[in-house]
Amino acid sequence: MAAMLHIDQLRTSFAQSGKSLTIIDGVSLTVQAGETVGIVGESGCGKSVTSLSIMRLLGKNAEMTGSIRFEGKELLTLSEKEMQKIRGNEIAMIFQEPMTSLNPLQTIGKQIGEPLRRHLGLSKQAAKERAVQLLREVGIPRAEEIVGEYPHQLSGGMRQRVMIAMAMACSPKLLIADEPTTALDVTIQAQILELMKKVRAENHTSIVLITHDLGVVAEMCHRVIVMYAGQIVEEAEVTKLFEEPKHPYTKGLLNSMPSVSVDAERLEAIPGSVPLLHEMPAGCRFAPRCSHVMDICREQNPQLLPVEGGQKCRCWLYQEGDER
Amino acid sequence: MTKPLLEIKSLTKHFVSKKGFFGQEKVVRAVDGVDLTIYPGETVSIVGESGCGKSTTGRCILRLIEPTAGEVFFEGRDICKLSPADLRGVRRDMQLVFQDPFASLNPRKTVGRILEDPLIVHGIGTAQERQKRVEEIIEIVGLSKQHLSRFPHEFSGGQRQRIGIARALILRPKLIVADEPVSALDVSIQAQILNLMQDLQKEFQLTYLFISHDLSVVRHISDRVAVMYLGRVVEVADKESLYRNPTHPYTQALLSAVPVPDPKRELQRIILEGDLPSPSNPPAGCTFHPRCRSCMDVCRSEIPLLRQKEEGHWVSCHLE
Ligand SMILES: Nc1ncnc2c1ncn2[C@@H]1O[C@H](COP(=O)(O)OP(=O)(O)O)[C@@H](O)[C@H]1O
Ligand SMILES: Nc1ncnc2c1ncn2[C@@H]1O[C@H](COP(=O)(O)OP(=O)(O)O)[C@@H](O)[C@H]1O
Ligand SMILES: [Mg+2]
Ligand SMILES: [Mg+2]
Repeated sequence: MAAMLHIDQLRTSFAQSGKSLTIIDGVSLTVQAGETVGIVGESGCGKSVTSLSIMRLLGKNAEMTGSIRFEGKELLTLSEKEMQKIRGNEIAMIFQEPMTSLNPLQTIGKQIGEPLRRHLGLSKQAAKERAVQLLREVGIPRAEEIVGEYPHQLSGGMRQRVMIAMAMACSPKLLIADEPTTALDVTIQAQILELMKKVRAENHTSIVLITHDLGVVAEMCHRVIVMYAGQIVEEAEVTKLFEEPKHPYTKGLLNSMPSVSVDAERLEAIPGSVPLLHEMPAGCRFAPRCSHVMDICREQNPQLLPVEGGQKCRCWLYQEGDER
Repeated sequence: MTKPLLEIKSLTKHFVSKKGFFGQEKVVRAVDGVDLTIYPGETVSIVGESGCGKSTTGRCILRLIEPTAGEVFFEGRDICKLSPADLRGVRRDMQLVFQDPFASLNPRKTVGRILEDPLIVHGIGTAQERQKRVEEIIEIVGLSKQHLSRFPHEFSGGQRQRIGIARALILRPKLIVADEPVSALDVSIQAQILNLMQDLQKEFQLTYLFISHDLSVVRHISDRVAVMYLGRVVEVADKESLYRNPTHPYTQALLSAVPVPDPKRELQRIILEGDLPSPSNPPAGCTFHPRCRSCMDVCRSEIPLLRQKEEGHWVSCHLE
């Protein structure tokens, strides 16, 4: 059986003032039915561009190579019209800031109902009734009234619930959630994560969950992909990632996080900062910040290879399968 | 006993805005009777969700905005009663570090100029002495002299926050109010800045009022923590006591909501119902009562006072 989503060697570049900037450089990942895969990494590492590549929502100046197969069907060669049938129907997406994807001039009910009418051919009345039902399912009180209200009348948490209701309207097989709780306060984030778990259990939805919060990853994901500067540096089953992180960057991320349950005298910061796009190191992209750096790291970028423990890691410390 | 560096008593800030067609007055009770004491060398944090009044409290303390009522004593003097000349003297001793250093750094000035400005404003040193101090401070915060001739946009987020800290530090203040200083930064950079702030505190005997919504960061940096909800302090305690034994039902819910980077940990989460009420129309009695799982009759009508439950651990809750 084909995987729900299979991305192979995705490369996404943008044409900019005559030059081509490669943002995503050889990303491969697989999401099985019912699986939640997390993508973590610091801002600018390419998480959003990856998700927008899957949805084919990048502008005209974007060029993608490689392959993105959804249930075996290649998305990169689909026409825009065919892609529209998939978007919002079979693959849905929620964003960090719901206001950017909600129409401020349309009532909530109309926005939820529109894809139902378009994709499922529901009547106006039936779409409205289903919208009320969906809002109830995502825990929105006074759903009958809310369908007649506008996005700006709702709080941030409520808007994100509406986004989830919209995303789930056509029972998509795959949900792409790009930092869905980053803009929310922690108690509201807890509500939304609970809701996502409920929705996932009821619909057996596959989820690609993009976040920079390793706590959210631990709570939500089965498998995790760690990105650095446009590339995957580690891929692991979730407990492996936290118990036996392999890549120095993954270790660095985990060590630099303050904990809410344990005291540390001092945090282990990762020195330096992420390389700029036009100053990408020739070798390993993390080498300038890595405490284990060797000569070879500055010369050649390592491959993402399977290592002991079942995870994959892009690091010269682990090449040829064994630890140096 | 040491004297407090800062003592806030019944601090209140209400924003009044005219709203609507008939110009009805709307009062936002941003800060509603906050008491807090900070001793020299301490790091005290204010933690709470957005809109609970953290920044407004910080701004009132520095008198960047005028409090509606209450007193703010800095080294024993009520700064709300100071003459403009005396206030200027006190301002040297209290500095602010912002969340978004970019918004607070003038884009048309070089970093060197940005750092020198506070010295000029306060009439400190000759041009040569000022230059020396600027060169010192830029290295203290982990940048170099070469950076002084550059402009803010040429720096990364973490570097800009270093510049923001250098600017706050250049007047050798006693108190730094840091309002979400690491909230805009990625964790690896956040750790650099937190380490820097801890080093500077030791080196210059600084006192910090640290404002943040991030409970993990607050645990790491603080000696004592005050939890705010809708303009009021609901719990204040030593860090150990607060995180080991959170007592106010809101603090308990807040702490339980933080996702922990351990996939094997059983979640024991208290999910709060609904949203934060509006500070322009807060619930009667304990403002947390509509969302509280332990709500009693008395909570609906009587505002609980901060009471000491354990040595140094204060809670405003009717529960015993
Ligand atoms: N449309 C675009 N054109 C050019 N560069 C882009 C575009 N969108 C994103 N980028 C760049 O791609 C990089 C990755 O961005 P993004 O995927 O948004 O990062 P994040 O991991 O924070 O979501 C950034 O350096 C960003 O500036
Ligand atoms: N200048 C202002 N005018 C009116 N309301 C304000 C103003 N500044 C802050 N507020 C309101 O006061 C409350 C507390 O805000 P703030 O202190 O910024 O909270 P926090 O820093 O905890 O997020 C919020 O409801 C906010 O909307
Ligand atoms: Mg993003
Ligand atoms: Mg604030």
